[in-house]
Amino acid sequence: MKTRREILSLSAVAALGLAIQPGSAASAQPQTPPSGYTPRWGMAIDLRKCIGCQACTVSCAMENGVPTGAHRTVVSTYEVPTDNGPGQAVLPRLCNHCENPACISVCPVDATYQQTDGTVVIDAEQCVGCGYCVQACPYDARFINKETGIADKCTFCVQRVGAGLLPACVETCVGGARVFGDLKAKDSQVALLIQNHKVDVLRPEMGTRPQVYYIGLDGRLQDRVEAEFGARQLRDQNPQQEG
Amino acid sequence: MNSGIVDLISFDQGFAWRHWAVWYFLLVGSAAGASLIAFIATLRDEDAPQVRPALFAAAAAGIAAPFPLLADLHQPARFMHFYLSAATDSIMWWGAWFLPAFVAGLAVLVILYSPFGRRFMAFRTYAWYWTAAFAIAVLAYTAGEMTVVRARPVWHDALFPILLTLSSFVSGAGIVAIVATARGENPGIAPRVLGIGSLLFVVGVVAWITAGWGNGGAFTELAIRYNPVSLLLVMTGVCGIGGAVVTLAMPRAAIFNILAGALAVVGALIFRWQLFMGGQAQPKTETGFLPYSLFANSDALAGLIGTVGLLAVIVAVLSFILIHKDEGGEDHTASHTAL
Repeated sequence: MKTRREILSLSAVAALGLAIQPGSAASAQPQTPPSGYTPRWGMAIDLRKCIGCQACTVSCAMENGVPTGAHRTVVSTYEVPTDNGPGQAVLPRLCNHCENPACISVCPVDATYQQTDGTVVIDAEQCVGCGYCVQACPYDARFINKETGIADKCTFCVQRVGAGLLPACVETCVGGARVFGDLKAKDSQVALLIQNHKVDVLRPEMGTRPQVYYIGLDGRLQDRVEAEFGARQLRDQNPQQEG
Repeated sequence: MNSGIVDLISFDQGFAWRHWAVWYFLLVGSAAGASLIAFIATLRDEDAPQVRPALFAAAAAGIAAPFPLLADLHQPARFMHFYLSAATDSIMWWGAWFLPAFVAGLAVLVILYSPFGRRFMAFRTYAWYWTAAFAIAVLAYTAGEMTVVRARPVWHDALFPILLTLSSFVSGAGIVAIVATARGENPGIAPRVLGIGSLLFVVGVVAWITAGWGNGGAFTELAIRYNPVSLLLVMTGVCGIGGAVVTLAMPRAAIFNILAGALAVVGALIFRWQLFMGGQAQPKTETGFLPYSLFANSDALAGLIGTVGLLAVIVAVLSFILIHKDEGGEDHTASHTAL
């Protein structure tokens, strides 16, 4: 029979083992890069694992203080016809931190720019809120923040990543569908996922070279989704129910 | 469309460009069109009778234009950032320089055509060329900055900048016709520009809709499937055809000039409304349209009242400056009626 001390010791070892388990969230933490090395942050979203719970949507809003009614990320959810009748398809949307971003060249005050690590960010002190970048983004990933009056979007949680943490949406992803990391590091989890799976990006015809990759993306959701009667039309017909 | 896909959870981003953008584009386009009509008249004679009313119209619209533009910025107090940056890749940045250069040209011309500017008459030619050059630059940047937006298929279309510019000339001719007639002056080529321009405009809009028929053309989709825009399009067509008929088929009479001018301005306003607001109502991630009230919108009504009020003040000031008597008693505007 084990003593209480032994039981506590075993529990501590078990907890430690869980914490360092390969493939866990902890192991996907961005590593402190060696001096002079600049990562290229990106994301892979394994749609086979996404359950559409919107935990990412909520945690993003909480982490970044996104005003009610606006979203830096959201999981669009569709009913799609399948061979076995209607099925459900989910599509987490966020800024694609494109290699060739359409939003940067249009900015008339150089407020939006790309960091050396590939993250597209906005200088809150410089932005005049002209909305030109919102128009230019092909992914509807930008919006004018009604509280600050400036353009707003996903930053890959730059404040968290800078502190060695994962973006809030990745941290809270229940199914582990969102994987964030350095696309340049061949052994990173995100790079391996992209390497070993067929991946797609949204709206490739726009020529923006998105750096958010999807595994298991339904081709019908890749471009503008041909949505018929649904939530949007209901909102249109019942505008008084809008927030 | 028969995809069988239903959006269960979707989201709507708010419109980044509000109704103020419509007013700005209408005013600055009309001002550029009117100033070019005036410039053409000056090529023969800088004191030709049709120059002064065209300048009046251009200056009124041009001086009013920056105000709705500022109102459309969500951080208007930061407008100086345009001039403290060097974002040469952005057409809007270039526009931030073209607009004040154009408005300054108009303001200088107003002074040169006032009693105070009489001693500087030699500078009129330079001022006209400056203003005409920047009027063209303004027309180019306003059409260009929207056409380059690939994410908005209605704007990213070869016919978009052509029709937007054409409607600027039509509305410019419209305000010249109204001002000249109200002042009892010669409207010059304005009615002809209005008539022919309106005709070409209507043909262009019909061609645009036809070109997109059956192949998913964004403007066609907007015009056919999005009810508020469909109605606005009919109104634009009525204004365009009406303007053309009144100016080309009716006798030259003051009432018809005013009517045609009003039709031109209203048609250009509605056209911009459907393109700017309708264009933004098309989500980029899904087909369909965002819920947006094009008509029963108190903000838009406030914008209309504010813009008209601003124009009235500017017209009053310009009437004071441009309608005058010489010290010697010669009445340059004896036959004119102040607006």
